[in-house]
Amino acid sequence: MDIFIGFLNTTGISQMTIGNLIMIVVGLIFISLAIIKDYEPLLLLPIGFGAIAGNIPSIAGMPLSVYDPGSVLNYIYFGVSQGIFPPLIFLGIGAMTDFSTMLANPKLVLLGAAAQLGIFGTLLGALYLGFTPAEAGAIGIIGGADGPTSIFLSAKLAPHLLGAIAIAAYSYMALVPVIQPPIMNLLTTKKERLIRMKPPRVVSKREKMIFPIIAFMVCVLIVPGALSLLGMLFLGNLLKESTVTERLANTARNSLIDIVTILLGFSVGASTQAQVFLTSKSLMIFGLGALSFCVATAGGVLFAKFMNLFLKEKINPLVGAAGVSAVPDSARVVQMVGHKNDPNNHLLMHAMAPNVAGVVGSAIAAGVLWSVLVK
Amino acid sequence: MLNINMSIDNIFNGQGIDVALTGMIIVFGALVLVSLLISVLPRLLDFYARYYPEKEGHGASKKPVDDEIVAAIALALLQKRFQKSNKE
Repeated sequence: MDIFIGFLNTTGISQMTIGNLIMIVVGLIFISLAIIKDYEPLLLLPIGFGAIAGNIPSIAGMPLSVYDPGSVLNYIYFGVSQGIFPPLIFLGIGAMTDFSTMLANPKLVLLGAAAQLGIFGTLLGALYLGFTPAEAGAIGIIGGADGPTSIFLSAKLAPHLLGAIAIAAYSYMALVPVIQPPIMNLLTTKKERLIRMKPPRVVSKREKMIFPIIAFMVCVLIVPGALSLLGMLFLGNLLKESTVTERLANTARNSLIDIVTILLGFSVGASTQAQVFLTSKSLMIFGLGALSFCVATAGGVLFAKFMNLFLKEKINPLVGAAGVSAVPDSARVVQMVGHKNDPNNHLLMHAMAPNVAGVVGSAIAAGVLWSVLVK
Repeated sequence: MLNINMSIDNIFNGQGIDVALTGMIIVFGALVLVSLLISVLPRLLDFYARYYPEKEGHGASKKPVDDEIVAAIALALLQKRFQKSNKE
């Protein structure tokens, strides 16, 4: 009987706290959003399931959670805590990305830079709220709207905030179709939203092949801190564009990225134990995360309007919102908002240019913050 | 309980303005440079192509299909449909 009672005391039910229950509900909400609303299902589903798994109370003396050295989850989480998974995801993204629209219209690259205003604006907001500079840098990167970059930088600058930052980044990425349209409509006139852009020119194979090498060298020579992210991104793209490594490109954009996404999503979710996650800091991070997406969207749209002051061939300012590097969601949102205003205006191709430039921009910003703020 | 230490001094003590400005300038600088190189690249490649033209096949660009060929195919298909409907 004693053994039975002893066993009952070790069950998850007897050790469950209110905090654990709240986080399990959060996990269930993530899974529901993924399945019912189709919001970033590839990430929200493993993260949601991970959040449930991470909040099942573990037994003292048994290494089970991501924070218990030697546990299976701890080994998987190693890829997150040491920043190994994000560059591998970037390899896959590179092998999927077609930079031709950006190569066809280089001025749109600047919109990808302008949207990084969200990162630095949020950094100031986080400092104002009392976070340390390193923590503020890690929170600020949420504004890059790039999950792997957020995880990479927070693993380097503020590992104790990694769970909250990753969850905030991915949640808001999933909510891009909800967050961006009101800001885009607010900051543009009907006339601006109707602007039609010239179709992009055809880009030669040689340009596509040379671009990843040149862009990698330029960016990394300026910001060596972005080496692992941009190195993998441009390697992936070169695998795709070289046409001689199709097998490798296929593996990078299919099997590899899928495996890493599962491991990353699940272990990040499992790191959201109530005792670590449910703090006042996490609440502030969520608030700042929402702010960062708004500032980034506004930065891109307003900079497109600024550029129009000097350009003969005007840019549709909605395209600026795609500088937020949630690929390809923010480009889709631009297409959707543009299409609502003029059903014959197709902005998707144009929006992909600042979208992919935003990925490069946020990786550069992460490299800058890492080199400036690391102790 | 929320334990917030809000103060504008935090921004100055943490050199927030300096970090933000430096960061924005570097991001813009790097992407402007990338943008300039992308703009120059086609001209450089055109010049290079005069001496080393892009070859068909392995790694070369696919030539866009000529408009006249597309029109000819469309006409042929149209005629075939007409012939078919006349027979019926």
